[in-house]
Amino acid sequence: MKSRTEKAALELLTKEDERYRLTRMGFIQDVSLESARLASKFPRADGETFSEWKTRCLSGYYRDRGFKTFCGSHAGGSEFKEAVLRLFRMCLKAVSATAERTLTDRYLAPDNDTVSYAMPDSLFEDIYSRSLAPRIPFESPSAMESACLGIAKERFPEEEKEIIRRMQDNERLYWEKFYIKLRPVTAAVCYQISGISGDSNTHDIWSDTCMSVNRAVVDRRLKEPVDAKAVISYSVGVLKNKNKELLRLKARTPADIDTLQYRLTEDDEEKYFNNPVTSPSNFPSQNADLSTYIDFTDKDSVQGYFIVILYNKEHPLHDGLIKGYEDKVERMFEHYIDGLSYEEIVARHYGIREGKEAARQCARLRQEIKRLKKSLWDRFNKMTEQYR
Amino acid sequence: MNRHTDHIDTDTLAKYFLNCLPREEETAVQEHLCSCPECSARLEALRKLRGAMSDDSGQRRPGVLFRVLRSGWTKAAAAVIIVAGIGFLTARSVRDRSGIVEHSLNPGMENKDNILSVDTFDKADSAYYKEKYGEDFKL
Repeated sequence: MKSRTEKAALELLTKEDERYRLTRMGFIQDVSLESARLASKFPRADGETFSEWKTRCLSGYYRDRGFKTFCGSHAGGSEFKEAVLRLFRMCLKAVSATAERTLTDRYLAPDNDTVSYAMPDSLFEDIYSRSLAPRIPFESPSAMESACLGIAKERFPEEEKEIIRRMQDNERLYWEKFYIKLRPVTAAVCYQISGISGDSNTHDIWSDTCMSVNRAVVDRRLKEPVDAKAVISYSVGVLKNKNKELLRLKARTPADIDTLQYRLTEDDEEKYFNNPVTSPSNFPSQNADLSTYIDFTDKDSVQGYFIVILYNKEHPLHDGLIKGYEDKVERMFEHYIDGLSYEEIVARHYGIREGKEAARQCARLRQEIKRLKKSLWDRFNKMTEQYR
Repeated sequence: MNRHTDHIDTDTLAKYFLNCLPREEETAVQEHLCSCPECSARLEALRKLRGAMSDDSGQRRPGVLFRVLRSGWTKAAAAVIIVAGIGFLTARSVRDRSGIVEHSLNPGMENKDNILSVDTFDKADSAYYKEKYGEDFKL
């Protein structure tokens, strides 16, 4: 039976490991062993609050275990860098969540997303070598986090001209966000000009527009100096053009496509960005619910969110995820969460306790759970695809 | 924390699990977890599920052919075929050829399932069934 301090120490270190990837970066091997050591070395003193104890024991633990030395010797390693990258992304997310939405984001990023606080890998390399590496070694992971947070606050939001330069260099991260931004804009323009609606009808126009705009920006065909508004205006221009062509084909009469406006007017903005057709609820990719948690660039974050949806029956996506698998999911929970063996589950649900039939059912159940895990994961990926 | 029930609400627990809570809130959750077995069990359930799921999710399942080739059943079948083949050739070269085909067949093989039907079984499965239900067990 674990004492209260041992339980607390285990939770502290488990969370530290989840947050900073201590095991993965090679700092510790066994969380349980380390937490037992931590509990025996740093018992909670009388009158000490939990928060005070946490601060004292974690700083003492990292000092005794030599995090500083570890940091110095592993700074060049890929696992260490990967852990810092993840930490930096977390900090950046926290900074952007409280920051005011930039004008650049308004024109280039989906409603719930940001390009001003986006960090492609190449940018992280630059930040790591220029700003983080000189500060290594850190006393503890939380000192490392503070450094990341400080740099994120100082370095971001990224300047618009820098974002445009990266888009001109065809930086995938920015383009992906911009393509998502263009979805509701496409829907609005198509709806207003040619009267078509629905994802299946507008998909080709959207994808053609994405390619046209990408080529125009990457090939430097837009009039310099290029800014975010020029990119979205050009996109709307292309969309108008395509819709007018569509109308012309339909009407069999020539339409005047030379009067296209490539600059947005106040009136246009109202029409294109605040139209009911472009409302965020119609576009899951613009919906803030998912992306407040999930970082699609981080595998652990995606997987963690999958678990949250699977376990939390109140989550709006839960029913969709397990639809058709309800009973199987129940059995899977009994096995993995309640710790029941296959034999116990078979006895509970089929009333078969022994013999060949019981063995056969156990084998079937085991296969079923194995397949279920894959089916759920595949379904989750399909469901979240529209949010990316 | 939900003040009415004195338990961590689902959203906060999910954020804690996903490392999305600010430090102060995280500490408050940890303090509560130390004294609340119910909330600890909910968090533990999330962690157990993650552990179970991380075995398979995110990993591409190898192709059927690869799994068939990799499985213990296939190795056993291949060994039988090779041994039978060697026996067959040896017998052919030194003995009377009559009845050689019957001799090379593995006894009882006609009653076995088609080995291709084991494509969803991997090495761990084979070992599991062998250990648990004996050699003669059939799904």
